Amino acid sequence: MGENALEVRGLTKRYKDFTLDNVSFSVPQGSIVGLIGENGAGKSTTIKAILGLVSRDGGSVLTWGSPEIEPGIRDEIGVVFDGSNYPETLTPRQLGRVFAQTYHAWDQEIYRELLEKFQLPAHKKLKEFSKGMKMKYAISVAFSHHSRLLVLDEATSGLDPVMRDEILDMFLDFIQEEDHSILVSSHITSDLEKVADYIVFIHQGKVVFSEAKDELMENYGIVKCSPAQLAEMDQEDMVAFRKQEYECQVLVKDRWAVEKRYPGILVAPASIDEIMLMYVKGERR
Amino acid sequence: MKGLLLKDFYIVRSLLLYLAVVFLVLGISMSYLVTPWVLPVIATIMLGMNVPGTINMDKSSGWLKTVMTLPVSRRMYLSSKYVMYLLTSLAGFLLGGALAIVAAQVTGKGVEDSAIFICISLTMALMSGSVLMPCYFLLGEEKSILGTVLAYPASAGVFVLLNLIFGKASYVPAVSVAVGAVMYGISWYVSGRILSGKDV
Repeated sequence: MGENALEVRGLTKRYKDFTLDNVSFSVPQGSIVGLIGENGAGKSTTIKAILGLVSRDGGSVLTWGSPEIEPGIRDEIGVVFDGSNYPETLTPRQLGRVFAQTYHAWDQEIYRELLEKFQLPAHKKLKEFSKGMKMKYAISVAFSHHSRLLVLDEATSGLDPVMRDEILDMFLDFIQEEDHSILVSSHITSDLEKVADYIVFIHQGKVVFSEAKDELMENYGIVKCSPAQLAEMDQEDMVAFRKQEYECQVLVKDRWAVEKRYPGILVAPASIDEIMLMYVKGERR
Repeated sequence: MKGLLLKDFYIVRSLLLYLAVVFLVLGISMSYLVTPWVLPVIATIMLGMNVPGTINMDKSSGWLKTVMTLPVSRRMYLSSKYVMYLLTSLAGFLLGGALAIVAAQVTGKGVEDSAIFICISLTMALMSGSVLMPCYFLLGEEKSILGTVLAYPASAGVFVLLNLIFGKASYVPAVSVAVGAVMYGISWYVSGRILSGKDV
């Protein structure tokens, strides 16, 4: 693992009814880190705190080793928030001129090519765009100023599967440069399964795990067993379990070890969705 | 800052047609009923007051979030609004002044009142701006409307108060402009301090 593009250490933010509690993870250069969690888990708060939109009550955020995201560093960070975050009465052509005066590394040629690629009319006001078009527009902007780090909050939501696939390919192309990195939060975990190198799971404001995706997919498993078999299982082998009428589901961290230890039990690989569901909804002994 | 000013310029420009209609109706009637020298007052206020409106538009459209990720500081964003307010007010003042000169010639009402109305234009723009801008920056979208309700009566109140304190001396209008400028500067500084630590 090389230098980290982003390093979040003990990030804490307290609200009246929610606390982002001691969140730590890193985004190594040349990698895609997926931030997952249910609604209200703290993903957007984490991203806002990283970008300095909200003040921090504790912890630190290092961007390429720098403790503050200075305006100069922001030139190299492309950000896409959920929904439209541009003046709706302006056109992409006008906004292009605005960004050309704002980003030092703004590339009008790339911007124009992306607008064409996504079939976004440069002369139409953003309020006339569909939700998908607005997302595509935000992604075009993020890619048009030679960013080295992309921070994407639900960037693929609102896009159809074909366009999502195209955007994911753009992400994969982007990280071909070894100093490029992406932090992406998404509800669509299948997207992250396709592209992410690491998965950070946040639940109720805390990081549940931060692991390499391949290891996660390789080692985590779902055991489908009877209540009697569940009763026989050692607590240490289980992460969480769910009891249904005739069947129990158990999330295990090391499916190979569990298969060896309980020969009669079938262990299937777990998807990120299943892992997340079991952590959130499963019981623990 | 140029990019931020340009974005607000596009927004203000898109409102110009509506403003021109209102200005014509209001301006012609006021010129006829009172004096053509109310034109710079009306134009200065009408153009300037659009800038606080863009702050609310920035909040509701999500642009405020986007700005915080651009390579500009919060203070620069805030300063762009204060500068834009001055620029649009100045444009209104010059346009209104030019129209007032023409209207004074046409109506034959002369230039006797010009100095006092010029001072009123500048004082109202600066004093109301010093109240409007922090209200729009620091309060929520709904509460910030309070700024519009308060700013103009408060500015008129300060203007009257200065007249009561200093009497009808010839330097009073100039003093009120200076007080307006100081209030605007304080508002700019204080808003910057508060906004730099505010969550978006």
